[in-house]
Amino acid sequence: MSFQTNIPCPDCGSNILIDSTLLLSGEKFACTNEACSAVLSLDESSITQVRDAFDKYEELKRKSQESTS
Amino acid sequence: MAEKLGKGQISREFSGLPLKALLGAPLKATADANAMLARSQTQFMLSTCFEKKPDADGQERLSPKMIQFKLERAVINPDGSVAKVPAEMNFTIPLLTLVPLSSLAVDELDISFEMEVKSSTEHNFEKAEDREKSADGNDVTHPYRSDHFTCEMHGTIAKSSRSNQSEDGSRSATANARYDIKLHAGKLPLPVGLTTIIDIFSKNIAPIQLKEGANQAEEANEKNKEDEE
Ligand SMILES: [Zn+2]
Repeated sequence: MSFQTNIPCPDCGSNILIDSTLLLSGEKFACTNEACSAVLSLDESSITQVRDAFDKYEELKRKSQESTS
Repeated sequence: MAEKLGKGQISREFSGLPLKALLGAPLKATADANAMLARSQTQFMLSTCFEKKPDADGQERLSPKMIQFKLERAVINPDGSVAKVPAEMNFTIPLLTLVPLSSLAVDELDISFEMEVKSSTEHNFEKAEDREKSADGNDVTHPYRSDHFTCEMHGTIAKSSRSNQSEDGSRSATANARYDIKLHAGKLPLPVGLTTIIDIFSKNIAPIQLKEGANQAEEANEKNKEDEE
């Protein structure tokens, strides 16, 4: 399951919307500011680290929902 | 052998329960659940987004785990055309800023039941001299002792009767005792301390622009060090 997150653009400060699954597949994400041409993607060297964190985050979300339902 | 709960027996199961327990038990369970959630979220944040690193004194400290991103930007040529090859740079951000942390917790608890009060008991532990003191004028500074006085109500959960008519025309009545607890889990705002850390991390993603003066200052610093040596 994927989730959405955002990080500020290093160039203009606007939000860059990121989908967790697409980010791990190497997809590039463009800045939401039309006047800004910044495009970012996750470096291959960090994919394993980010995948591990996202998996643990999903597990935490699932457990939280179970304990409050 | 399992015993079946007969007519009216369900409501009798609740009879004699103090009001304090009926209201307090779900509240305590909710508070316990919230504490458990907060603890697991903190554990996740510290173990996943931070790593232990020794500092200059050799003591282990938690440092944010950093991840690397690639940034591409369009380049405009002097003639106004867009260059075919974009400018590329790498930058690192703390992993914490990428995980959409939120404080998930039970934010609403709804307990509903109808109660028939069967008895109420009052326990007064106040001594005769204390009673005299409090009767002596209206001294509001007289220490308040909540443990001197308790009051409890006991009752049964009101049963609602429902009669059903079957095909052969006979009627049967069923008694139900209702005690509803509704829980709603929602996102609470993150603690200010954590949002401040994330905010500082996010703001520091932007590359630092070195001015010509700054370069000169750095060169001057290095030259000074060499002179000192
Ligand atoms: Zn931008």
